[in-house]
Amino acid sequence: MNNEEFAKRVEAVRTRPFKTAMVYLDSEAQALDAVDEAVYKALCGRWKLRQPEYFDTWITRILINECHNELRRQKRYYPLEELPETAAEEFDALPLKEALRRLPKELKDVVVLRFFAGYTVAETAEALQIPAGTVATRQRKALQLLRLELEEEVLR
Amino acid sequence: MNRMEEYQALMEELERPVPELETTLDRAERKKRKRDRRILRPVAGVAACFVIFVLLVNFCAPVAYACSLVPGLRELAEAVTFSRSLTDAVENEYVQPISLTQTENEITASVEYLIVDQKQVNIFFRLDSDVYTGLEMSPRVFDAQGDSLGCSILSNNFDAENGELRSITVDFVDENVPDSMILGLEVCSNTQLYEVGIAAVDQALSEENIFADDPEEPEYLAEFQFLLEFDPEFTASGRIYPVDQTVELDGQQITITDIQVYPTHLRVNVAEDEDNTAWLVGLDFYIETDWGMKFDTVSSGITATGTTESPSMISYRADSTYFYQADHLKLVITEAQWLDKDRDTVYLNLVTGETGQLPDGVEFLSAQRQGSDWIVSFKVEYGDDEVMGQVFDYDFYDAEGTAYEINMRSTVVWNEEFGEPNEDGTWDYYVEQFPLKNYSDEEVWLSLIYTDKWTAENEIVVTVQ
Repeated sequence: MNNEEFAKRVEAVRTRPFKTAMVYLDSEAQALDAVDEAVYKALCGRWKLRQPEYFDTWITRILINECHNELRRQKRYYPLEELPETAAEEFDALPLKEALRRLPKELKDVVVLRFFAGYTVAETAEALQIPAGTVATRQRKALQLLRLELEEEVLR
Repeated sequence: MNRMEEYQALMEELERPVPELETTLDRAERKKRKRDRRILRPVAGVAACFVIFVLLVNFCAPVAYACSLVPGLRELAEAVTFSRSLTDAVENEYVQPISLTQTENEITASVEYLIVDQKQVNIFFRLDSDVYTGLEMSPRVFDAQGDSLGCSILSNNFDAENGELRSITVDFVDENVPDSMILGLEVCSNTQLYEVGIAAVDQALSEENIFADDPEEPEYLAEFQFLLEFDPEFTASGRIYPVDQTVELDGQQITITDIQVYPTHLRVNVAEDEDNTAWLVGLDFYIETDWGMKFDTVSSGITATGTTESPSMISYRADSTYFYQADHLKLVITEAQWLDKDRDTVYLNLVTGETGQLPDGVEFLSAQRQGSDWIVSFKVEYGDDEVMGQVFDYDFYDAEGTAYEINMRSTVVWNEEFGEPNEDGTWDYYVEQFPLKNYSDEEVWLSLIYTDKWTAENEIVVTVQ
């Protein structure tokens, strides 16, 4: 992928990675840093992406790694434990942002991409490199825990 | 607020415009350029210069004349023959004598001459001792307050004998030479260096890795600090000739912005067209006076400098015309080296040997696992200049784009181990070898210094009034 195509694709996807990072990190400055780092890493490794049509999900994968790295760094100073899937009452008692942050990682990855950044089930599956059926199962569990009644995409 | 209201509020928050996102790519490109920067690239040409020294001192009449006028300059003339510009400076008595001597632990250091201009300081000094033989030193420079200076330091002598005149070159790229500076010399014996070297070799052999960790620093026998104060007449020396002419090299547009002539060297400064598909990373040229005297690119010391803005080299060094009169100068460009903007790194599978597109004349040779490192070797064909140039830069990347650094490398002369020589016993190749330390992946992306070399079919000429 040459520089021009890379620039076009970054331009096209810019807001979705930012929304994703915002939900993970709950800080505009940290989200911008994570997006910057993801774009930088993608720029350095752009020639590794043999199929440009996967650019969007590829950079999302890099971004999610960045967000998890940042959360790991924060955890050293502000420990915030995930709640188990069985802790329905605890999730109910938390504000939505806090409940999102304490979701098990696998559920959080799916729900952030699907319902906050606007990815389809297929795109989410590609970005997280999991089957579409797994995306559907995890999003259902996550929505139940968050008590969110959002329309689920019908899988064909 | 119920859950759905919370959700709507959060979605609205995410939709807020964030102006900084407009410049994300700019920041990424800036960061990448910073990563790619190569400010200084010294080359070694000591052996070739030694031959020139013999010819100049024995057969160059003006040098002999200068030597006869000022006592002590004969030895200085011998000490500067690695540089045509410095030789001309001595011949023209462009020398600031200085006499500073210190003794510590039965070692005496004395600084005797400076050849200094607006951009470079050449310091000539001696180390002597009745107790220790084979003294070596590590030089450092600071400003008069003891703070670091933005400069590079090159030692011009190795294996000098006690009492022999030695020199170091302190070079300033953007900043000018200050009014004064502190020269620090940490002195050890070459026996210590030898022992440290032997210990390093032993360690390398025991680990079966020639690129084992850096040897420890030797114990210094003495440390000296000299305050060097420069004559303002010398530090003001420099002439800038605006050029502002654009030429096309290999389909790329390059503008020669100006030529800066200092007594110690000459700089040809260039700017590149943003639409170029490759960065200019090397330029071969010569300067010719209107009466036919030629000045080549420097063969020893700093040959080119870049900036933090791109991998390009934007300032190229040549021998100085400072001491010669000319109505106009001719800049004749003969060759260029490029780094393709889309090929600044190259893929290598360390297990299968599969590679991306390497520069012409470069082939993958081997990758061997040694402990937690990979030792990677490439076969490189000599260029016309027969110099063992560097192909790969000092950084490499894994599949996630994480950057790693190469902190050692070696260039190995081709030998029977690698293949048969030519009929005349010469070799067409050499080997560039370096470790990827603590690297466990099987795939790696190596940074290239250049991707293409270009030779002008017809010389490109720029005239400078």
